[in-house]
Amino acid sequence: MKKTSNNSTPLSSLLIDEEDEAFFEQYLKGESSLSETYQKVNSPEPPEMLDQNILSAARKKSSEMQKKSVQWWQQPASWAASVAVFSLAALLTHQTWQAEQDFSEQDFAPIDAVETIQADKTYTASPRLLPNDVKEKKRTHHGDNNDSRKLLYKSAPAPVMPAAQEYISRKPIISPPERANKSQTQGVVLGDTVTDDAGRFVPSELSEESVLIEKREQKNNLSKEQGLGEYYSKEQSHQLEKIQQLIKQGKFDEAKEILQQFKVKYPEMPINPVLLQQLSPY
Amino acid sequence: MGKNAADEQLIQFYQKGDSEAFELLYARYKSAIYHYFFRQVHSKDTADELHQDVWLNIIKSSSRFTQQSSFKTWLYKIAHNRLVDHYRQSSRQPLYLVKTDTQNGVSDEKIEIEKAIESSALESNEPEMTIQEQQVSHLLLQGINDLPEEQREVFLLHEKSGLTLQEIALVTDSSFESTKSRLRYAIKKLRHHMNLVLTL
Repeated sequence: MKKTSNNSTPLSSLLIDEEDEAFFEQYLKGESSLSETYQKVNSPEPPEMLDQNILSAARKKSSEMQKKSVQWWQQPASWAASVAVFSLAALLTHQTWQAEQDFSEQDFAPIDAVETIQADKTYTASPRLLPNDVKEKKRTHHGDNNDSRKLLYKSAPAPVMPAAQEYISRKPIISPPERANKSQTQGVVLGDTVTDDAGRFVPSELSEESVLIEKREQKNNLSKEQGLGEYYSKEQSHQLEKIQQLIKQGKFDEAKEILQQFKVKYPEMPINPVLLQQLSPY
Repeated sequence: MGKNAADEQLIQFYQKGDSEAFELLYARYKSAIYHYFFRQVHSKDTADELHQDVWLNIIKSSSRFTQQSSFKTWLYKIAHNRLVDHYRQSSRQPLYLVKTDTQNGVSDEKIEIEKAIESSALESNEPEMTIQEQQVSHLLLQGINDLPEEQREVFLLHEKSGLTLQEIALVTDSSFESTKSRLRYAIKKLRHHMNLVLTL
């Protein structure tokens, strides 16, 4: 009996567990009487005062959110600022366009006229203008009246510069046919080929390269003069060299004496300022 | 925006400043949330306080709601957290503040629970409820009240709020298996508590 009773207890508990499990499965499916009974039980409702408090808080918050959600372009200040910026931009654009129009309407001298140095064979101390007929001829030759980049002759006449005698006596580097072809070539107008009605030489042109060569030669000559090699006579050079030697030897008093003598003897001769500085105060 | 709009749509409208959307949401869930608190704390005043706190929190943090989870889960998660906070505060409450009936040795809280159960059983949703049905309701409410807090919470969320076991697991930060196990124990206890009246 004891054995039987011992065996029956777990069996009954197992049966109960199985019943519980079946009840639970039915409950999960929503077919339990437990759910039906609970649904019939009165469920308490929150008081109306509480509802009103909560809903008023919600409305207040929503109005705040609406204010925040207003986009920047919907704000009056942003509108005003946008209009102001747009107007300013339009004004600036118009002014720029106007300035460009005015600028294009201005008269410009031709580039070659501005950059060309004209020389007149009739040497005068001050620059003078070419006769009108010569200017007309040149303008026709270039054929650039419609070039907006160039000034008109009347408003900005090309300067006429005096030419040195050595240039006048020289033959032109570029031959006349070549010059005719190279109308845009910058150069110096020389007057050794044509004469006008007044009997003056009409200037002819010299290429830029030739001018540069001449300038370079002049520069070399000047540098030689600055070296004082050919500028002074032998005696003068000898004296100056002697002064320099004395300075190198540190005999400044003797060098000063010789320099004084040189100045008395040749008062108009310039002295190398480096030499004077070495003997300062002189 | 219709009345049949989804919860997530309504909260989106409210995020854009539509207060009517919130009113619809509140109407949908106010009873369930209040019921959840009332059955857990057995005090009308405390339930009022917790209910208000939860909804004000929803209003305040509505902009932080993302569509990653459902609104329902989010709402009950906030409610669950508030309830946990309430339990923590209650456990820290000094003992001398807890009023007890010295003569009978029964606390005021217990009396209040009994009153709540009785009033709930009497004020049924169905007016033509018989006395026997009222007794059954009373017995059921007593059984629910006797459940451990965790099992009671799972039962209330499943039964009244209509949350699935998966959603309850999310709300209570538990695994699915433990949630199911809690509900199984809760149903088993209630069944045995009402063994005389309940049938399959």
